[in-house]
Amino acid sequence: MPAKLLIIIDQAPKPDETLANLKFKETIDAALGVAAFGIEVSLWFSGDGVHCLQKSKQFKIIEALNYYDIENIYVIHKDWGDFKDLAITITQVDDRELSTIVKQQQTILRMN
Amino acid sequence: MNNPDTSPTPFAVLVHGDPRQSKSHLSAQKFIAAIYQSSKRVSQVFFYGEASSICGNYSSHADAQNQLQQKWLTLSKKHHFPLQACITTATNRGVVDKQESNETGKNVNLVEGFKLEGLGMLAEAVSSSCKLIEFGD
Repeated sequence: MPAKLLIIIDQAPKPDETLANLKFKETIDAALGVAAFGIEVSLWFSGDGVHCLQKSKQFKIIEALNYYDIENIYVIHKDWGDFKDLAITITQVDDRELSTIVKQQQTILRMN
Repeated sequence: MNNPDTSPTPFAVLVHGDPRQSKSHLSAQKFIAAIYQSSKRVSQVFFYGEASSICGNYSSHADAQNQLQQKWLTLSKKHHFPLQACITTATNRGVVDKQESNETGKNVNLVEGFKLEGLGMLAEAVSSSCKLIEFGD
C-alpha cells in the first residue's frame, strides 16, 4: 500500500507577487515529484487557496496534477464559491469527510 | 530468538523557509537539538524552495545567514545526519555543485557538508517509518 501525503494550499498569490508565485509553483512541483516515486499525493485547497483552481495563465501548472494522475484534489464545501472554468477536477467534501482523509495520511505538509 | 527493534522512530526534517527572513531554520535547529537531548535521532534534513539557498557560499550572505549555515554543519557533523538540498530549487537560486560547474563553467559554490539531491529524498522521508516535520514561513 503506497504511503499517503496530503499537501495543504491555503494561499493564492497575486500576479505581481514573484516570490509567492515561485513558492506556489514549487509546491506543485514537490507534489508532482513525490508522486513520481509512488507516493499517493492528495491536495487540499483551503481558504484563499481555492482561487488557484480557476483556469488561468498564472496557475497553469495546476493542470499538470490530473495529467500526472494526482486526482485527489479536495475543497471543503464552505470554501467553495461560484467558481466556473476550473483548471482541474476537484472533489468537494464536508468537514467530516476531510477529517477522515486527514487521518489516513502518513504525512501532512503546508509548503506555501 | 529475534529481538524486535525497539529503537525510537527517527525524525526527518523538511525546511522550506527563507533563511534571510523566516525563523524556520533557527526553529528547526532548536528542534533537532531537543530531539537528541531526548535520545531520539534525525535521519535527514531536506531543504526545499527558498531554504535551499542555505547550502551556497555567497559573498552577499549576511552574517546571520552564515551563522545559520555553520550551525547546520555543526549539527550535521555532531549527529551524523545528512544535509540535503533539492537540486532543482538550489540550482535555480544559483547554487553550483561540481557537476553543474563541469557543465556550465561556473565556479562551485556548494558548501562542503551539504549535498544536492532530487525529490526522491523527500519521497523517501514520506514513505519511510520516519516522522517528517516541516519548518516553513
